[in-house]
Amino acid sequence: MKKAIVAILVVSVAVMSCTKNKIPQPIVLEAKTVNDLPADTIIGISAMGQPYGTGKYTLYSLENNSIVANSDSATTKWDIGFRGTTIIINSGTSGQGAASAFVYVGSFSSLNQVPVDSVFKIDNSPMSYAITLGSGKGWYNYDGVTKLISAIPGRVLVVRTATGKYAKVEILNYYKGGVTPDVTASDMDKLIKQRFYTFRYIYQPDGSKGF
Amino acid sequence: MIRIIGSLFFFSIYFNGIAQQDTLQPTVLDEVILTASRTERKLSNCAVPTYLITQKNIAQSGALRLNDILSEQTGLNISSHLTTTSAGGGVFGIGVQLQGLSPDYILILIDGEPVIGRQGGVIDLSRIAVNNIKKIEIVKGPSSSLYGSEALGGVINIITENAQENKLDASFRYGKFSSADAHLNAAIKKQKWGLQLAGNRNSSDGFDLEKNKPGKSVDPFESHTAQLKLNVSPARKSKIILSVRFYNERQDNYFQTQELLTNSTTSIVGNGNVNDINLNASLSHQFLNKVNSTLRYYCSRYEYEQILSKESTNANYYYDYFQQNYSKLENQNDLKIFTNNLLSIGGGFIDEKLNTTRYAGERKNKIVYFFLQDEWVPNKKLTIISGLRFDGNKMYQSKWSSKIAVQYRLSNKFRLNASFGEGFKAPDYRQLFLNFLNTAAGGYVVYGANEINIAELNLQKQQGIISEILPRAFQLSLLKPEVSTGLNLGGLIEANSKLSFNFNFFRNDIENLIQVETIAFRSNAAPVYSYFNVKKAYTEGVELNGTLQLNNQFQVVGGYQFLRTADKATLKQIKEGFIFTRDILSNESFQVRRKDYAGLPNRSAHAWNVKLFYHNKQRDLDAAIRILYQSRWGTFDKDGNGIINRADEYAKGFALVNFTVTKTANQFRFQTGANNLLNYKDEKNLPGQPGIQPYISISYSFINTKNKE
Repeated sequence: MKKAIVAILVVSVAVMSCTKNKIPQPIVLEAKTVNDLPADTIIGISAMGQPYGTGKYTLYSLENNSIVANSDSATTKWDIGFRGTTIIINSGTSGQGAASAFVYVGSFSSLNQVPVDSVFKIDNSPMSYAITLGSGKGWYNYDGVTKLISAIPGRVLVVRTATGKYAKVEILNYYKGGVTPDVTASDMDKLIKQRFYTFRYIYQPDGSKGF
Repeated sequence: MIRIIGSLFFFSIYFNGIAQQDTLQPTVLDEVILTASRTERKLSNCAVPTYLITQKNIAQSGALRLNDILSEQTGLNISSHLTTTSAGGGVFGIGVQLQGLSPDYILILIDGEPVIGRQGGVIDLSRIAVNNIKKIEIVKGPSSSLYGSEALGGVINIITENAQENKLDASFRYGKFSSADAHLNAAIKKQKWGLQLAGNRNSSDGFDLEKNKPGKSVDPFESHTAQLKLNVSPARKSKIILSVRFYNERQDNYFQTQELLTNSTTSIVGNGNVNDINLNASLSHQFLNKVNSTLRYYCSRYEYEQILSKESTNANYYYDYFQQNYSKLENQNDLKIFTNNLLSIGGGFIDEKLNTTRYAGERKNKIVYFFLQDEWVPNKKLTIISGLRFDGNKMYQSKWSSKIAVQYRLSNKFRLNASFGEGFKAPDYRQLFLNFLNTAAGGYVVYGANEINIAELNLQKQQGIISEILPRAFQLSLLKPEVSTGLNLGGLIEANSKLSFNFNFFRNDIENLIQVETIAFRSNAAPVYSYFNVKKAYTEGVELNGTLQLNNQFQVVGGYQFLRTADKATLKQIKEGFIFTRDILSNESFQVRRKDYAGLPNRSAHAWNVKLFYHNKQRDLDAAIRILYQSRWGTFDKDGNGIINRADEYAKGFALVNFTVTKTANQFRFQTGANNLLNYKDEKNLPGQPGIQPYISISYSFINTKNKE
């Protein structure tokens, strides 16, 4: 077995060195990590005791790896938006773009190619969203006992961007600093630290479905 | 390990030789048990897994409350539900797991009648003082064919003392955290009647595990128990029992809440009060030497009230009131048919009433039930028990429960038991009647199954309260009870009068477990929940127990339980590759393998105990050391997949060592000891464990019963 691996390595190194100058190297796509992206963070508590933010989505361009101003919400400049646990895609009832997405079950690193039978969905508020709302249904789990929200491992948001490119996005954490508060942390700690997304993604600029 | 077993084997052969020279003493296996079949029979003749805790066991261990003594038994895992109430400060109480089933599914009886007043599904075991208990009978596996609802995982029946002789005993105990316990037992015994009186006062200053946090881990409390029990035998074949029991508890609450989003804190003071009263009357008569008929009336009221206010302004902060009333009238007839059949036929009515600030208005339920059991002894070696019970009511779907149990006596020393039984648990009040709008966390709504229907949802949609009704809402219906089917296969080996051993394999399949699901969305996009029978789970394992009398002075008792549990839907998802975990350091996701799935949370795979008892008759000296171990158990999901699988999602396994020494001198009895001698603490996962608790106690018998002997 070991021998076979060594043999393959030798051969492949040989092949690589032969072809080195003839075909251009494919661009290696690097995963980008976005830390602490605020998503309508809590600014107050209503008289009813309900925490609230400004109610605005944080819009994001995967192509440019940057936040897009809310004034550009009616453009195709943004691909994905965050408000609390709700994630919208620039499509349908959410925006003017032709983006779409679905939640892929599997690990981020193993998703090298968008499966051919994938069904991309668009937002149709309030009936349905491309990234299904609710605990255990889309990207997160809410634990009613600990009052903590955690990103479900093995869930990848596959996004067809507003300009028709493909990207894979993995939400890693929902709390500031990328660390979920301890179970024993105070309710206040759990509230003020939430709605900060840490996610990583790979954007394929050439329009293909491979990563 | 093999060496240990080898030497144990050697020991048993060795003692086998010695035992034959001794006269046979009556062992615990000859004790009469009532709970297993609702008719009296010897412990060794019970075909279902039945265990007994005697008064002597309780005295030796220095136990005061029911949880103290149950925590030292194999396969009973005490769980402290120190979850605060919605307002904080409250305690749900201490419950017990049995064969891996939660406290919610274990029926607790006092003298055969159910203890009521579950908070968060748990009957707080510390409500029950053990100073006047004659014995505790534990039947494992589903027993709803005899007891109806809640006897899903098992039944724990606390049998209080009957007046046996004139008696007046008083006792006082003092220990760490200013915990004080005083009790008084008195009895008058005449030829035709007996009167037993027991009183107890128990209090503690509570304790604080996390000094940097305001408030205590367990708040100071004081409780009182009183029981009066009258036995009358007006004629040779008639028996009347009248018993009144009263319990009262007051807990002083103090804690601080932090105002959300500001750094200001508010101190909250108040108290929680529990009042529990029950009356138990039974009249039995034997007709024609063949039929024993018993008429029982039982009623109980449980009241819980918590009043909290802000310390600075005295303004109301929280108020919770919960009152449950339960009454039951029952008739049971035991008939001898031919020579080898005992037929029990019975039935009754249960009336339940609920008054609480948690649900609007008064809630009532009536249950009608009947049961039938046949105990057939076709020959000397075989006993076959079969039973059936029906429970009918309006609040949830009615239920038939059955049971069959077989005992086969291979020899006097070796018995095999096999039983199959069904158990059920009625939906709880929350699942039926809750009507809750959460204002703090997103404005979601939870409806009990009886509080919502599709017509109401449609109406709310027309009114614009609800934006969307989900397909699940069309499946709203009368909830079914949660049900289990249990299989127990075990055996009892009495090698000799010194050594006995029992084993039991168990498997419980639980269905219709109730959980919340989303039925609609409100116009603010917040979900609307209600309850459905969805989940399926199982628990399985093996329990082993052994007792070895080393010599006149030393006795060793040991037990072990292996437990495996799982949620069936989770198992399926793991099989289909749907569940992943995340590596803490690399953040990479991996599929969860079956062997990494811990099963249901709060359950230890391994639990064992070893107890060494010393008895010196000449010196009237007793000592007992008990080591109780449980392996790691799952606490909270941390990697987001909703199950326990990663190492940091477990609490550490631990061992408790409890120790007592007792000296009897004339009419005095002195006891000193310590629970948790090794001072084991785990603030996060064992908030009810304060560490080492030494104590001393003194008892005095005003009437010298020894001299009479």
